[in-house]
Amino acid sequence: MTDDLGRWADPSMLVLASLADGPKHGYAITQDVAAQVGVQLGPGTLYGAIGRLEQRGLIEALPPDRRRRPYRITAAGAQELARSAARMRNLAELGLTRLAAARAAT
Amino acid sequence: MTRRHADQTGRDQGAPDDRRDPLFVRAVLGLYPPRWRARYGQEFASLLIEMAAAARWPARASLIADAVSGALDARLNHPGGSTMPDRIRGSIAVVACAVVAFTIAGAGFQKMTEYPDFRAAAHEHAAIGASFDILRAAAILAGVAVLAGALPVAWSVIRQAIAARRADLIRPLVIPPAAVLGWLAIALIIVRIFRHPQVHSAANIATVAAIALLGAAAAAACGWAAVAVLRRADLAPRLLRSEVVPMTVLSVCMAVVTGADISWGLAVRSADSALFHSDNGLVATSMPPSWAGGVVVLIVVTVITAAATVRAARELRTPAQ
Repeated sequence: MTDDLGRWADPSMLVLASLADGPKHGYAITQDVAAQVGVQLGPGTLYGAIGRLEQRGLIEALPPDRRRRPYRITAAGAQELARSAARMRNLAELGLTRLAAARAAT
Repeated sequence: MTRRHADQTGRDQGAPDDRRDPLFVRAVLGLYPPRWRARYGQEFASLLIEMAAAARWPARASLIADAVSGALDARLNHPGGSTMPDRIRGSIAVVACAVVAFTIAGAGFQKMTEYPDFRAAAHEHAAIGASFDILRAAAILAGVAVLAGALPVAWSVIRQAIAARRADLIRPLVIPPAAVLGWLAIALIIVRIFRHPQVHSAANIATVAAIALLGAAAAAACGWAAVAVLRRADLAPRLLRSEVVPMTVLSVCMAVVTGADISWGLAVRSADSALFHSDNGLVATSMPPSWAGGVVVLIVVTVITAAATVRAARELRTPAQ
């Protein structure tokens, strides 16, 4: 996986965020994440994340369409995404506020 | 195993010998654990082919390297390869087998208590009558719970079997009605041909034992069919999770049936010792062993069902991490 987002590019979070607006299969997830966040998820990374999320009940598989299998976010997955996103937003706001205060002081 | 069969069962999906896929895809998939391949192989191969087709070198090399590192991750972090729906599916299969044993034990109790002596005792002694009524009501409710759990799964499987023309699903679906109807037909033929007016005659006992054994075989065939369908069908996780409700009701009903059976036997022993020690047990044997054997079977299947239900319910509460 190549990304410039450090820990925010956690593949599991990217997959959850991608599935938040509806079910998608693996290729659609990689396309969505690349288009929206600029991160290219590799197949091994993506399926590592899918396996972990499915095992924890955060996403669930739908019946396959030929060889593609769509996944959708579960209620627990949506809850986890909301919690993590809120934490990220708080941290982003804290960082931006303090940077602005530091700039104003100098 | 042929390719067609592998596609139908889904058990060997993504096997490295899938000759439709490019060599590099088969080579990469071969690095993943078999159970991982069985679960994700087809979709992973499809993704890898699509991504590789859209990428140029050296990006393609990066994709393949990522897929190879994913194999190491899968081997280190997915030892069992089982997912939450797989584990619930396993619990349901265990309960299906327990239901078969429960049905056989219930049929044995029904057969044992069909004699007029037991009916008269139930009328004369309130404790016997109440235990019997509670047992019968709980058994009926257990049957309703089994239907409530089985019918949505059966409907989903029938739709899959017809839509995808999956013979591996149609065959086990045909087995339960065929087994039950076949057993009823054979039982009727045996009863009509071998009429024995003496209840406790050796010929009559042999006839009843043959019908009972055939019934047990039919029930076992139904259990095998249920397990086969659960293993082969592609069942939605939401459907699998909803099975926990009828499984819980079934566990409670089984516990009530078991308690009522124990209470019934003790009440018969207390109220009518001669009847309790009579040879009105199964196939004209002594009643106490027949009753005690039935109770043991009921206790075992109740414990197994309750444990499987608790395991399935725990899967619903898998903590978000």
